[in-house]
Amino acid sequence: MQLMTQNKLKILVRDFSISPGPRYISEGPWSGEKFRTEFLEPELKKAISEDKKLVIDLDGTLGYGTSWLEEVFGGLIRTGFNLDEINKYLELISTEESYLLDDINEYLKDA
Amino acid sequence: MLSEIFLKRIIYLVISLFFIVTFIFIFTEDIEFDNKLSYVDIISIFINILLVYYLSYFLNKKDSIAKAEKDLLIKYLEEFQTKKNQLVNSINSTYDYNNVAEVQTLISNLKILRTELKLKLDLLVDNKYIENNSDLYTNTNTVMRNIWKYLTYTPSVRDTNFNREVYINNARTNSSLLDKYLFNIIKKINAK
Repeated sequence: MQLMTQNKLKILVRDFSISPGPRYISEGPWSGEKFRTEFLEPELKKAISEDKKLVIDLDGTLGYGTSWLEEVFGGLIRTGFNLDEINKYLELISTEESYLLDDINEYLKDA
Repeated sequence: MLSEIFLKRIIYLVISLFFIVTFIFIFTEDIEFDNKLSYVDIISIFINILLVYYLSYFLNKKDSIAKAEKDLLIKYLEEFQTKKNQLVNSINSTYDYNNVAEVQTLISNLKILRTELKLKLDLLVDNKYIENNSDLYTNTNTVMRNIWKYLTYTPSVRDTNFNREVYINNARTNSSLLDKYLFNIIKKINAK
């Protein structure tokens, strides 16, 4: 799931699941909580320690629920990452659903 | 269709000729006819008829292309609206939000709808029917986002007052607002 290109680490969400599921692990498979705790947080910590960008590619899935996105990205703030750090090290890309980037920024600010 | 357009052109031509001839007879007293027709006159009449025919042909063609484009764009929006209404109406208080597969289908359909609306609005912007920084463009995207947000929301542990019924009603309200914005967009297309 994790790729490395030059000075960037990359996570393809579609490699985690093409059908991202509910908010919490207890609610079903491929949850936002699972993605955040098992993939995103460790990779983001690594990116920060190595001073590299972590790219999250959101394309190639069947779609995201608002709760999955909120739990993943709002959850980052709630677990101790600060917004400046996230803005510096996290890069989101989506050509299929470019509007998701605005949605995620909102979750980050609101958390 | 073709014969109808042709007939229309002939009628325009006859009416125009009638008015021209009437005008000449009423307002020109000194007019005299020598009852002779030269080759130049015949060629001139022939060229004039051709000119009238081709002018009306090109103007009509331009009009029909513009009308076809408008009809197609309106059809795109109406197709979207039908799909959106079917989806929103299918979610009610008996909808099983615990069924992971069903919820995933709902999320997937909403992704398709939201992307489709964005593409269609961008098409309208590209063709200069609406502006991408206009209230209409922004509001239309926002209410679609709200429908997605209300229908795919599941509460967090902090959200103790969550009421699914309220969220479904909010989605329906936004759906009605979206219908209103789509109507205004169609009005704009027709007015252009």
